[in-house]
Amino acid sequence: MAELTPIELDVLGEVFNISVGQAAASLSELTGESVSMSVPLVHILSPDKLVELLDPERSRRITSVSQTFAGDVTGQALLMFPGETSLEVVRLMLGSQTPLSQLTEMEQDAMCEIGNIILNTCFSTFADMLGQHFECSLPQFQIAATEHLLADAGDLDQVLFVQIQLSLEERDIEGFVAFMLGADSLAALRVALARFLAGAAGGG
Amino acid sequence: MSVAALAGLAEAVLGKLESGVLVLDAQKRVVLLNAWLRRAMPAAPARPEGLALTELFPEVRGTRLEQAVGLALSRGLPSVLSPGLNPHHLRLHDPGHADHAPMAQSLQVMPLKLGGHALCLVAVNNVSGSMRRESLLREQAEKLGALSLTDELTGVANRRRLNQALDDELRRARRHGHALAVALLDIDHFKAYNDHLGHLAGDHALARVGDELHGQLRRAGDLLARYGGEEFCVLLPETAEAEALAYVEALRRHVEAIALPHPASPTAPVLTISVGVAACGPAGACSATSLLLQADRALYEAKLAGRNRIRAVSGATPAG
Repeated sequence: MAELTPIELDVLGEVFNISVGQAAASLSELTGESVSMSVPLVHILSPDKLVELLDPERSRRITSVSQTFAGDVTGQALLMFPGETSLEVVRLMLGSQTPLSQLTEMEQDAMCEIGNIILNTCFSTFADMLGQHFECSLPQFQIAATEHLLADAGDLDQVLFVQIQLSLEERDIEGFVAFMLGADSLAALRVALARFLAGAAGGG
Repeated sequence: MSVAALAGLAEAVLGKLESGVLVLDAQKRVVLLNAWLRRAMPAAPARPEGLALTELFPEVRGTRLEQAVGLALSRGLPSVLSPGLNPHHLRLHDPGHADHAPMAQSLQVMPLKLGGHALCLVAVNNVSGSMRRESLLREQAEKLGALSLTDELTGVANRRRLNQALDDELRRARRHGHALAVALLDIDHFKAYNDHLGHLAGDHALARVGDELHGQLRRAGDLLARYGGEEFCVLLPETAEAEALAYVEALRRHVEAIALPHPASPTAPVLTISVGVAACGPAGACSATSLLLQADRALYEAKLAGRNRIRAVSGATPAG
């Protein structure tokens, strides 16, 4: 599988940029907090590299909300927060005064909803821009060691990895969105990107 | 099993289910409303089928639930609506509560495809019980947290709370370029007071001084803590040295003016305090430890100079 070209990465960056903008607006509306998100950085990595990047010491636990999706492009989308940051995200959004040492059931549900909003806007923009349709699962909450989290990705060549910075109440929190795609799906994604680029060139 | 039997079974199961099921068609009209959900509604219509979602639940108009239903129908995307962010999407009452308390709900909104038709399934779970348990747990944690940060005798903050607050305020001061001051206050000749009047009287005096000092705090960010035996510490965010000195001088006078008799004091006939002040300027890089050490040093100087007085770290006293 050849690397994605810089132009293809740019288009993906644009797709995610629109997504996170909408997600930030939804989250602000939902929580009454001012939520903003940085311009996302898109990378294509091997699963090993991704583990390396998220957790160089192999010591962290990652909180994730994931949804699987199926269509021309099939895979798993994950929103991840390393270490303690997920507690911070939820508590800033829920305005909890007394943080307990772990996320409570309600806080886990809220985390699911937050992840669901972000991932759904990604799916929507993807669907719109690239003319794709997905069947998606409900979001799943998980706290796991980094390697375990990405265990399913073991047989994948590459991971579409998006780095986003959430800003909440003057605090910057780093989160990551990853799309685990098999080789077939990555190929289908390239076809969709090519179609989008041709359409944009033809239309412009 | 025949199709008819299966349909009958599905209906029976839906009727027995201890959670809510609402199915909407592509126009957001009710296809199915199960018995549990019907019972939880304050006034369920006899025939809800065919009613628009917003006719059945007017409170849903313009909310995230309505958007989530739209997303499921138009895009096939599922949503969860958690009780933490909004527990009352639908106006339902909690059957576990006699007085029709509102039900806290967790919702799942899922797309359904049936014979080429797009439908939307809204699954409703009653989480009132877990919400109550969690708020109870939180209350307990808050109580324990408050206890572990309060000095038992005086009721003011303890040293642990002071350390936390000082770290927080130092960070805030650095970020915003504010000044910050701390003052250490020591009751003069407290050992003699105890020896002369007894420990019970000593405890009373400590509590009284704590109360009085607490009443003199200027704004929300100021913190009074018991620092040691007869020592208190006042944390003064956004306060430069001159302002801090003027303020602690007022505190010193206030304590003197309470006029608690101190027959064993060589300094004054009443209970008095000595105060050491240390400030960190807006550009300063101070650590909590260095600030407290400086204040302690200033307090020592105030005592050497005769007690019932205040000193800043440099040894400077306010004009007059």
